[in-house]
Amino acid sequence: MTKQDVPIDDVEALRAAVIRQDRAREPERRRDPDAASDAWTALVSGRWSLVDHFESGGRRFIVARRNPLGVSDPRALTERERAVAHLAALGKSNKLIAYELGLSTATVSTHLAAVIRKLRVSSRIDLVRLLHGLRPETPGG
Amino acid sequence: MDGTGRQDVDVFEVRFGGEDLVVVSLPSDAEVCAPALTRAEREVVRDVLAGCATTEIARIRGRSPRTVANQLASIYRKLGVSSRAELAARLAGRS
Repeated sequence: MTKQDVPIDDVEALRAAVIRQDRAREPERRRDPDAASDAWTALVSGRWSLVDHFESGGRRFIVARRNPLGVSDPRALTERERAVAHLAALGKSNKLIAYELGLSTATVSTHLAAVIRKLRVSSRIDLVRLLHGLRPETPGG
Repeated sequence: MDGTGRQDVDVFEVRFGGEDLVVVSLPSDAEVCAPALTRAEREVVRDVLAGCATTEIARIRGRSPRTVANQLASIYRKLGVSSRAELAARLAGRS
């Protein structure tokens, strides 16, 4: 197991720490409209590895490891996988994604399975919840 | 789309277990459409977003799978979506 594969063994404690930090920042929270699509890029390109994502107190939190510079997670998505993830994040069905990208539904479903495995989310729903608010306006990134 | 969610995004670090983790914090929009739904429907939505199958939700809630399917159908109709994934996207992004 590489460093990036080591899971956090106390997720509850991690979440508590995240929420504490978020509360502390609230008075002067930076409002950075580009942060969401930056996070998308970092996740799909393997610069970040997802550790956890959850909702609490009206906010959604995505927790990730920053991989060392120049060492990208081997689970970085391919260009095709990104395009599929991008459309899936909108809640589109495989049939619609296949139509838009000119692929067969079987190919889409293979790509999507790879995306779910690489980002280490548990399901399509989980993937949508992770990526939805992060999705940039145009695919790729 | 989802311009509302994009304004209030914060990035910070949390030191945990000897390493610095990066956190993205953004508004959750899960409650946005809630007033239109009944309490039972909101609870079903929560279970669906947790990844539960209709039969599992029925078992948890002590209802028949048919009841849950009906509630889900009425959720889909009220929110104008046609699948679980669309529902998750809808509630995640106010789109």
